[in-house]
Amino acid sequence: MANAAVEPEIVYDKEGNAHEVVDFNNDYEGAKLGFWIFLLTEIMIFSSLFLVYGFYFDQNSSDFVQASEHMNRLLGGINTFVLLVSTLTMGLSVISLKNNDVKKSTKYIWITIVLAAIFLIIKYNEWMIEIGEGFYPSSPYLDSLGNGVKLFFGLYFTLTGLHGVHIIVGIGVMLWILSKIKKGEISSSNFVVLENTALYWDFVHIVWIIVFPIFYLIY
Amino acid sequence: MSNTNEITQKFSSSTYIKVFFILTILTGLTILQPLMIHMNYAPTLKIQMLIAFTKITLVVMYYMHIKGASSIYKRMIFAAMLLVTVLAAFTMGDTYIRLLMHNDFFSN
Repeated sequence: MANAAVEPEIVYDKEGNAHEVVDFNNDYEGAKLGFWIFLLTEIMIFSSLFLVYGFYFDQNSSDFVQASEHMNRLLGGINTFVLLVSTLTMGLSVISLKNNDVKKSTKYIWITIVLAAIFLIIKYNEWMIEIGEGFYPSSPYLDSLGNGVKLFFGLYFTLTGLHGVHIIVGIGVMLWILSKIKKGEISSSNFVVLENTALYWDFVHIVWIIVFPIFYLIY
Repeated sequence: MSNTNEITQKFSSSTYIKVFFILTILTGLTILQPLMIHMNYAPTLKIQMLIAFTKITLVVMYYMHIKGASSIYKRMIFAAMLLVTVLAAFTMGDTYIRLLMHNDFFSN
């Protein structure tokens, strides 16, 4: 850790210009790059699941189409729109903070949290409807149906469950950011944490952009 | 080197709102397409995936700021996509070989 009495550390760029190393813990590009690497690991996780879906869809197309008819398209469509609006409000919160409008930024983050909670409530109700109809792993009704239908619902609960976990994590991170903004630790001159959270939220939206048509709209 | 975050943002809130409206129209198309144009599931899925990838491109370019970002981010995304494509190619190859073996087994 640097201390005031110590000689400042100097680094040189490609042109030979000297720059003082001010703070190792506040590297904007490093923070962004590190977060993108994390996002790429997330891309690999979800891509693998989409590949599994593609493989079994190829093997059991008619069963998948039959299973998709049981999905609640209205609730799925509402959730798609909720997530779309939440991505906008998250982006607007970053822009507001950059413009030093902390109050507006905080307001947009709260709207995003509320929208994320609405998404989860709708998803919970949807799952309850499906479970009530007997579409849950190892249910006697599901076991009486074709293997493709079982695979479809297994993948549906896995993918939407994993996506839901990401939404819950996102809500937790946004609440943590709100406390950091309140303490002044995230501000118009130090916003990379909020910007990375917005990137995470965009990723959560992207996953849903694929999940929605492959489960709800194959008919 | 600055100890504050550099303003690399080149997109204003108006860009965000414009992209939001395009995404809303595309979401409407996603929902309405199977209802209005009755096709087999295979072409429906192709159209759905085309709309989805258009939406993803818009989100990545404008909301995740890859348009105008340093080339290292573009290269990283390209590398991830390449890896996913290789995995998909292996999966498809494996599926095809299994199908050939299955057909050979039942024809003999």
